[in-house]
Amino acid sequence: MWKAAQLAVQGEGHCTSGTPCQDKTYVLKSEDAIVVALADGAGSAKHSEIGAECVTQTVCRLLMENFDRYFETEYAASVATELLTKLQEELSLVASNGGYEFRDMASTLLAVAVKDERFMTMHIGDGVIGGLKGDRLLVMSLPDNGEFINVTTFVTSPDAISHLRLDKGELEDISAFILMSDGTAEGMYQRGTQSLIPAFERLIHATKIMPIVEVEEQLRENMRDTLCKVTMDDCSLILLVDGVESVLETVSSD
Amino acid sequence: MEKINDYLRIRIEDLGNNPTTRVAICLCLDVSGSMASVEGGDFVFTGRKIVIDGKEAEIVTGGRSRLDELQDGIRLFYESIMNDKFSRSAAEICVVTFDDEAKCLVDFANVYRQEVPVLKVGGITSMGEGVNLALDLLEQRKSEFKAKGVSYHQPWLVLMTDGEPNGNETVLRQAMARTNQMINDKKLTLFPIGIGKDANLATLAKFTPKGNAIKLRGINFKDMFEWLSASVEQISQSTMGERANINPKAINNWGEKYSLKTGKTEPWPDELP
Repeated sequence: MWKAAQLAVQGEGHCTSGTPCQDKTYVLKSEDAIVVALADGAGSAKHSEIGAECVTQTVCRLLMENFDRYFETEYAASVATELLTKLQEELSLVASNGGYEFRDMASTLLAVAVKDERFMTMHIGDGVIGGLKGDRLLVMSLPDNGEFINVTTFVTSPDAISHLRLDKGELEDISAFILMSDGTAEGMYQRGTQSLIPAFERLIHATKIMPIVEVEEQLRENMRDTLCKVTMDDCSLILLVDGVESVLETVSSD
Repeated sequence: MEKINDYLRIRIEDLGNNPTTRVAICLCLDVSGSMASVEGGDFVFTGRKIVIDGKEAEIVTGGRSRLDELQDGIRLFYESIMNDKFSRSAAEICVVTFDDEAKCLVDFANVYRQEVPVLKVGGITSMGEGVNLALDLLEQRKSEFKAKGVSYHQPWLVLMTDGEPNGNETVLRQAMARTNQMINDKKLTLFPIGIGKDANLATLAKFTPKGNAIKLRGINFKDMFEWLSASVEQISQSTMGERANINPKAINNWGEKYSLKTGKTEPWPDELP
């Protein structure tokens, strides 16, 4: 059965400046489906952590409620337009209620939905969506940075619709999905070869067989110690895996 | 710290080896004869005159010239970049000079791979040639970055002159068209800086779509390069997907805005050129 480990760690840069962690993650499960989402709030946007929280929860709800209809729609453009319109409407509502500007809610957005033997992915902005197909790690959606690394597209951007990427398919032998923000990608994604670090194979294996709470605790601690050596940015990660519900064995270093 | 299950342990050696994101800065500097003008220090008039860069000037001994001050400013800039742990790896500096001809004194590289370039005064002011060379070198470096999978920020071009361009007019117009196009396409940030009372600010302003130039206060290169190195440090530290926390208003510490529209100078606003 599918399950997900999610974590978001505040970067050293935001620790120093007192800015809250602007990366948010969300997981929504039902009897026959699971949807996960990750968003990275724009550093220059005053309330981007609120925007990131809003879009992750909203997109999970939308994909959960409309999975079959979206999957069966022939034209991706109509699904993209509907998703983006509803996300922006929700952001506008939250902004209005809070007395914020719409642009201050800017964030990227990555999402994966799995139902029965089918999946859908959605991606606006940087960060990476990857997967494990058979025994091969692959990148399913690349970061969208344009020419300059410090420029990306957000859910609130005027041209977001032309940068929204959707994908769908049959699972076949895909047994895991990986979603990461650009902070995490700085250490766990090779830009030159557009590939994921091999360590993901054992992270996915551990997530499949261990209790999620334990995976999240240990990964969070480790990422804080290791990734902070290569980036000052907030780091977030979701491992969505087809695993076992309870622990069958614990792999230890003893 | 709780013991981490070995399967979940991410070690430094497990992480990808992504090259540092680069910040390319090109200094495009006027080294025409007029940059030998003495502006401060102890100097003595000799009573003799000379024509330099099309203008008559009195010859003095001693004192500190504009070029001396500019040289010191560049030395400080290099030191500052070298001493900042982020800029040291991220910043790549190129120095182009223009007098009778345009020359690349140092091509793009991290400062720890370079010697501080030594400026020498020359003849006339081939500004168009200098800017074209600087833009060519920027494009070449970006191509190299792309080929090697190195990510980079939007490059900066700092153009400094104390006079009137008197190189090839067509080449000058071509350089202006290129910078305007690149700025409109958000591919370049340009700082056109005029030094001294003879700098043609109107010509400098034509290098930007907004029609603005910066008039340096006196020969305050030190404050200018301090601001520049602080800005480079901010860009070097900025995380991906975020704009750097630069302070354009601090330009007022060393310069003021010249507007082509009004023909006047005024305080610099809270925006980059």
